[in-house]
Amino acid sequence: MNDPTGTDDLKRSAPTLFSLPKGDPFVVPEGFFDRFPHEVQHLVTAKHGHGNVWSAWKRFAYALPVIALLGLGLWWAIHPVEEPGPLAMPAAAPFTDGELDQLGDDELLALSEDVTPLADPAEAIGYVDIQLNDDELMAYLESNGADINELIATE
Amino acid sequence: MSELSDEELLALFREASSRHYAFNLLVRKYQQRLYGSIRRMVTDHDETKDVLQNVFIKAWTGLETFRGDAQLYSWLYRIAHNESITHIKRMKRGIFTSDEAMMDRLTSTLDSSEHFSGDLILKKLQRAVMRLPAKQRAVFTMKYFEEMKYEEMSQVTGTSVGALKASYHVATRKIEEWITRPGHDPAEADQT
Repeated sequence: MNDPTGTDDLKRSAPTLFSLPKGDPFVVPEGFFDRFPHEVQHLVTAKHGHGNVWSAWKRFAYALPVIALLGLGLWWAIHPVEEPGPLAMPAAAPFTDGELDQLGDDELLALSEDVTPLADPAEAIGYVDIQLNDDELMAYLESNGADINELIATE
Repeated sequence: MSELSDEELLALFREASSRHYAFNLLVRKYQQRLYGSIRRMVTDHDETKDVLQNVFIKAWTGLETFRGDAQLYSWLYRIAHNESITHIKRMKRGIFTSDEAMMDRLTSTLDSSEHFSGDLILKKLQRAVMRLPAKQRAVFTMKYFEEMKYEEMSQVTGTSVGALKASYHVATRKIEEWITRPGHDPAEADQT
C-alpha cells in the first residue's frame, strides 16, 4: 500500500515513538523573539561595515595589476623605442663571390678597411701553447715516426 | 499591520533605503519557525541563538543575489540545516569536549525546568535524538517533528529520497530501542 508519509511504517517499526505526543517541549526565554531581530540587525550592520572596507580593498587589489599594465603601456607610448646603440649589429649585406668579382680595386680596398683584423690569429683558431721539454718532444717525434734531421733541414 | 509576502519583502530589500527595514520584517516573520527547528537539533537555547544569528547573517549576504527560484523559507531552512549540522560537528570536534561531556551538559539543560517543559518520556526522546549522528538527527527532526515530505527533505539536504528513507528508518529503530529499553538511559535511574 502507498504510504508517502511513512506513518504506517513508523507505527509498525517504532510503536512507542509513534504514540508519543509531538508538542514543542522547549522553553524560550520571555521576550526573546522581541529582542532577537534587533540583535541580528546590530550584528549585520557591524559585519556589513567591515564588509564594505574589505570589499573596497579587494576591488583595489584586483584592479592594481590592470592599472600597472595600462600605466606601462602609456609610458611606452610616450617614450618611443630608442635608436640601437653602438653594440647593436648592423644589418649585414654579405656579398656573393660573383658580386665581389665585379667590384673594382678601390671598392674592395674600401670594404677591407671596414674589416677589423683579429689581434692574434692564433686565438681565432683555438691555438694552445703547449710547453714540452726535450724528452717529451723526442718521445712525441718517435711515436709519430718523424725524422728529426729531416725536420731540422725543413726548418 | 498585516504580514508582508515574500515577494514584497524581497522588493523592499532590494531598495537600499528600505533594506534594513525589510530585513527586520523578514527576521520577525521566520525567526520562530527556524528557532524551533534548530532547537530540536542543538537542544540548548544559547547555542540555538548563536546558530540562528549565523543563519540570518548569511541570509543578509545571500539575499542580495537571491533570485526567488526557491521559496524564501525553504532557502532559509536550508541555511539553518547546514548551520545546525556544522555547529553539532564543531561541538563534537572540540578539543576538551568528549561526546559524554557534551551529552551531560545537554542533559542538564533538559533537566532544567526553565528550559524544558516536557514530561519524562519527552525528555527521554530528546536525549535519544541527541545521541544520533548529526545528519541522522537532522533527517529524524525533519521527518518526525516537522513532518516534511521526503522530496522537500531531499531539496534541503541534497540527499536522495532513498537514502533519506533508509536514514530515517535506522534513526527510528535506534530511538525506539533507546526509549523502550529499561535502564538504558542512565538519567532515568536518577528520576525513578
